[in-house]
Amino acid sequence: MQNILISLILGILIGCTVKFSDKMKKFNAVFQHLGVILLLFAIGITIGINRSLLSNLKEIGGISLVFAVLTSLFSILLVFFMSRMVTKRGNN
Amino acid sequence: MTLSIVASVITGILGGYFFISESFTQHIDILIDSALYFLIFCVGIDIGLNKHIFKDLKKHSLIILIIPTSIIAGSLIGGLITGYIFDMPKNLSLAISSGFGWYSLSGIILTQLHSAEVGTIAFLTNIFRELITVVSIPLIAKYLNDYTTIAPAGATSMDSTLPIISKYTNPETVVIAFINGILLSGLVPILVPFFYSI
Repeated sequence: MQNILISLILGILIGCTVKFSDKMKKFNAVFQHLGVILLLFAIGITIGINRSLLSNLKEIGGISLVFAVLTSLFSILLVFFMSRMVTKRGNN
Repeated sequence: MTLSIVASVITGILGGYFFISESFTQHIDILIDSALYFLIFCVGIDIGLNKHIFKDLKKHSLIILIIPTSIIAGSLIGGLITGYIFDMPKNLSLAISSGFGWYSLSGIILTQLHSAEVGTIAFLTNIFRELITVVSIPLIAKYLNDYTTIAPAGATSMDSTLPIISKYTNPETVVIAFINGILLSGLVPILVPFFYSI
């Protein structure tokens, strides 16, 4: 948590103070793309490496999957309709 | 991009399963942390390059409140329905669904409060939720709206899924996502035990 905040604030300070050329902005985007792929690959490894998690998958995987799908789905629906309502009202 | 996201997770899972032993977990954690800090740093640069969003945030104070509130309500509704389907006590299904994607913490809390089985369900639920987030963000940004990309991410919208939100939306949404992540992450250790105890 602390390290995340420090990384973010450092990034913001550099973004605010240093002048970025278009080429550097593009580099920043490419770095982010590669970073996301590396991060997700590593998260995948932690799932694959965890034998006890995988052996439990058959028994409780179904319940967990339904939990994940329905909590995500209703969050998406509520945020979508509420944000649309607020932004529409804001525009008017 | 969506394809490369799914491919990197699947390659990671297969690689972890077939080629890497469990003793490597610590090294992988270091890799994840380093990649994450680097990404958040790059996201910070993006935000810094768009200073005006901080001024604009005042205009969006309502949306900053509405997003986490809707995520909490949506997660609890989804949790209650799941509990009903699997004939689970309401306090358990509400506690599991208030992990908001933060798998390590809600899994640990529920293992301690109840049992390893419920802890593992919470852990898996949030891992699946993170995978759903990763896959759905590009689609949500395309077909719904930018704010809604924060919804499936829940508490992870301040760290692991923030770079993906950043990739598909704009710096303003990233700042709101970060604030949402801080609020929800703060609520996980309060709401999980609270719902469990009712």
